[in-house]
Amino acid sequence: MNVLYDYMYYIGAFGLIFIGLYIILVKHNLIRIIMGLNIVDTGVNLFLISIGYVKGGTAPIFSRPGIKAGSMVDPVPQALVLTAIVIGVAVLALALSLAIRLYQHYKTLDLRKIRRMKW
Amino acid sequence: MKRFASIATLIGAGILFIFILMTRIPPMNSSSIYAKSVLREDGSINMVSAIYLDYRLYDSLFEVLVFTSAILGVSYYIAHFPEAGEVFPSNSKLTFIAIVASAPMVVCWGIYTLLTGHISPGGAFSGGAIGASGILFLSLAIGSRKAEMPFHKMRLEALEKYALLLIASYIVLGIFDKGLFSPLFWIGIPGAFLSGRGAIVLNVSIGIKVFVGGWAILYLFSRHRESV
Repeated sequence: MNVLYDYMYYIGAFGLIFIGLYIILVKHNLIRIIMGLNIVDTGVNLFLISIGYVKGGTAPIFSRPGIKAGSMVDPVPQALVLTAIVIGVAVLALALSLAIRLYQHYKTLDLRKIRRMKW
Repeated sequence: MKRFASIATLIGAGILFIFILMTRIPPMNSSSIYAKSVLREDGSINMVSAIYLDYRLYDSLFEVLVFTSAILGVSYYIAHFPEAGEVFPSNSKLTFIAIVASAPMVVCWGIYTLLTGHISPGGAFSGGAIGASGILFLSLAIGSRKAEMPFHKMRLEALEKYALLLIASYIVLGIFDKGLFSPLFWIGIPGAFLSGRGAIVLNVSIGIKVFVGGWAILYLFSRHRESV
């Protein structure tokens, strides 16, 4: 149980990544694949944040005098994830607009019918 | 094939789980390293803001470029579809009053988050997103045509380009040794509003980018909704 407690965030992050990967590999509907991609994105963000987590740590802001830097969580993964979230939203919008374009062209979102791109 | 994919995913998950159990990621807490230099070299009390607006500014620049090109792609692909017309406001009076009362608050909250990104939890990305959702709120109440009117008047798309130009020029002027934005430029007293080197300028310009981009995505998808 201790192991589960210690690695809770990593297990959650990898769980999300593998759920997303499974969706990307198995599903044939393009919208579902985009959803899987977004779940992978969330999992990667959670993984990065959990690497920098310190048990009982505070936000990396010197909000009051005398706050110790050692008790703060790591700010670098947070700055990376901040940008990654915005890029995730932009990529999601671009993927959805491409899906709309594909639907207009082929009248289907099934990847098996769109030129046999997949098994 | 479905079975193959699930078995491969499970094996991958198992291998990674064993990998996690066997390796101990060392407690690489860089906050104490940054903490020594942030207050002295940057002046922001929010370390995350100091990192993405100062130490890793190129990261933010290219993130903004990726965001801009993604929005260009969205508007290019969506513009070919016929428009579905206006997003009509809700008929309920209660919804109207609630939204009209809360939308300006949301927008003001976004602007506050944007301006005080270096001294409080917040910043350009969250501020821009909050502002865009406030305008979306407003368009639910008064209809999209009225909500988008100020955008055409203010030429917000041009403002977006100027914001990108401002970020690029800040970086270009700053890379020279003893350039305009050299080290020790306007560090200020940590915790004061006017501190954190170019934090306010960069936060506002990145915030405008995210605000206009977020609004453009929502607006384009809602305007062309029925052609899907």
